[in-house]
This record gives sequence, C-alpha cells and structure tokens, in this order.
Amino acid sequence: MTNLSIFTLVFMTQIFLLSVFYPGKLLQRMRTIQKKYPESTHPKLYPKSTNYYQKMSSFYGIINGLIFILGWVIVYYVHEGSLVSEKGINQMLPWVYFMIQMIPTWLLEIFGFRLSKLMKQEDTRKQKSATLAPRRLTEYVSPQLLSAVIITYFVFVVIAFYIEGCKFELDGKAFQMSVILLLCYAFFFGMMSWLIYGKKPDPYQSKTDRIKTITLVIKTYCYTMMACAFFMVFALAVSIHGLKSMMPVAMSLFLQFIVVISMGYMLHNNRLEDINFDVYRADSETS
Amino acid sequence: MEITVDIESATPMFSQLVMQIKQAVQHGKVAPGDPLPSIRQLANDLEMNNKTVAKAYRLLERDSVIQTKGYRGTFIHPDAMANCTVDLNAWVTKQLRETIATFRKAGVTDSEIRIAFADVLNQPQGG
Repeated sequence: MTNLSIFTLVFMTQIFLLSVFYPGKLLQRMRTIQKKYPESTHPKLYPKSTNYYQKMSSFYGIINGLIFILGWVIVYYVHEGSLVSEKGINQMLPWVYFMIQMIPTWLLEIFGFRLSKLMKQEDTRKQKSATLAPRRLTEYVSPQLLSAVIITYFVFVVIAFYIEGCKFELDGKAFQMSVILLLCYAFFFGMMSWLIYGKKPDPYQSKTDRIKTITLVIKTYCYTMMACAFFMVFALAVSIHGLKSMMPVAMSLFLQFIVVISMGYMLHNNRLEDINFDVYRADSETS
Repeated sequence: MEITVDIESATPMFSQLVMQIKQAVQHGKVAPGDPLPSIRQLANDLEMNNKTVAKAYRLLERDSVIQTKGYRGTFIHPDAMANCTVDLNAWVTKQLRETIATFRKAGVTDSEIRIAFADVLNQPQGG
C-alpha cells in the first residue's frame, strides 16, 4: 500500500468522522431535544421560536454537507497530483481541512452564546443566588489527572531533548516545540479558568448539570493536552529521523483522535436522559 | 452556604452582600479562615458588576470581617465574629445625632448645619 493510498484512506475517515458522523449525532440530539422537550412544555429552553432552531439545524447540516463535498474535492486533487509536491503531501493539509471542518461547531458555539444571552434577558426572577465558597479546579478533575497532565509536559521536554541529542539550542526543534506545547497548555488552562470562574452560566440550568458539564469539558481538555504532548513527541521523532512522509497520515489520525476524545467523549457522557430539563418548564423556579 | 440578593430591593446590592456575609459569620455558617469566592466568581454568579462586589469586599475588609491575602484570595477574618457586631452605620448615625443636638442647643439653624456639613465633606481629606 502506497503512502498516497494510506493517506486517502485516513483522510476519508477524517471527512466522514468530522463532517458526517459527529454532526449527524449533534443534529439528532438537537431534534430529540425539540421533540421530547417542546416549546409548549419547556418555554424557557426556547428564547427564540422553534422555527428559528429548525433553520439553524438546517444551516448546520448544509455547511457540513458543503465541507463534506470539499473533502472529496481535496481527495480528488490529491490523487490528481495538484496538491502533492515533490516532497509529498503537505503535512498541514489535514490540519487546514480540520480547521474548516470545525467552523460549523464554532458557529454552533456562537449560536449557543447568543441563546444563553437571550435566556438571561428573559429571566424574570428577582433573586440571584451564589455559593459563598471559591470554586477550585480540583473540584472538577482529580488531582491525579491534573498531575498526569503536568507530568506529561515534563516527560515531553525530557524526551524531546533526548531525541535531539541532549543539546540545548534556542533554535532547536526541541526547544521550539516545548514552547509551543507550553503555550498550548496555557491556552487550555486559561479556558478551564474561564469555564470555572468567568463563563456566564445558563440562568436556569441546575447546579448539578452545570458542574457535570464543566467537569466533562475540563476532562476533555486534560486528555487533549496529553494527546498533544504525545503527538509532538511523535512529530519530533519523525522530523529528526527523516520520516516526514508519514506526517500527513499521523496528523489526520491525531486530529481524529482529538475529536473522539473531546466531542465523542462529551456526547457519550453527557446524555440527554441525565440532564434535568424540568428547569426549563414554565412553572419552574429552580436555578 | 448560599447567599441571595434581590435585584429589585431598595437596599443597594453591595449592602445586601455585606449584610448577608456578616449574617453568615454571625450564624456560624462560615468560620474564621474560611475562603471566600473571588470578586469575579461572585459577580459572575450573582450577575452583578465586579465593582459592586469589590465595593462590598472593601467595606467588609474595612470592618475586619474579611481579609485579603494577596494572590491566595480572600478569607474570613480571625476576629470576624466580634467585628460583625460593630455596626459602623449605626455608630455614625448616633454620633451625628449627638453632634446635631449640641448644635441645635447652641442655636445653630438646620440650614447652617447643612451648609457647614457639606463644606466639611467637600474639603479634601486630611485638609
């Protein structure tokens, strides 16, 4: 099997996973919510009309469909040779396509923010409550998992410098990748901090559900950080040993893995049956 | 321990916060040394402005009900229980009442007292 065939196969799974499988699951979830918890019984869940949600769902489906077609166009041009240089397939190709594939998810996030804002505007309750205790990161994830994340970084640094022959050079790959990974960690820790302290909560969501959702998201961040460290060790080893032709395949597999441990993990563990939708009923007063 | 603020109450939000934290101390719901949420967290949870919570914390710190330990956060003051019973507002009112009574006794009119009071308040601090 040639490198091109392997890449095509792996890239096709990326197209399917991110533009068909998970978007399909999300759409199914949206439809189930609208069917099981309709506007008539759960008006607080719908700051806009049901028609608007249906339009958004269709829009989400259409964008994913277009991105799916774009994926096949890329496969065609890779096979035709237009996207293949003398050095082989550009290793950033799966990454660029991945970023495009994530656009519908980001749009969905923005849509969620808007709805949350509307929910807050429509919230007529006069009393607001808060717990008189600080929230800690360790309330959401175990100290063991957090330690594992931090240890993974140091393991990466040690292995990276070992692979590079224990040379410390500012323009060396090990140093540069250590900085990149550190920035990546800083970004995720910043996101965790925002989720715990800064994100405006859904005004009706039950406290248990809020904690559960944040816990799941933070766990996915932890797994993603560790996966990034392992991938960067792999990437460094590949570049040192001159196996760059493997990178597009590895990159695509890594991105798929990231989606499975983030989106897949969230969808699997944050099941609709476990969410308290009663808080969105017209007569509900819980916060 | 939960605190609740009424956004339509005539009592300012920062005063509600101050009162509720003092009540929590008095009722033993929070103990000396207990950590308090950060300004940002509390403001976010109560959907308030950060400045409102900061003002409440500043007043509580002035009354030695809470203490801020730099980056470690804000904690209940070791003498919070005793300091909670001191009501500075009531003390100020009592002092003013006594002073105004003395002025009236000396024949100073209410408008003269108001003008003098405003003048003194408008003077720069320490001046």
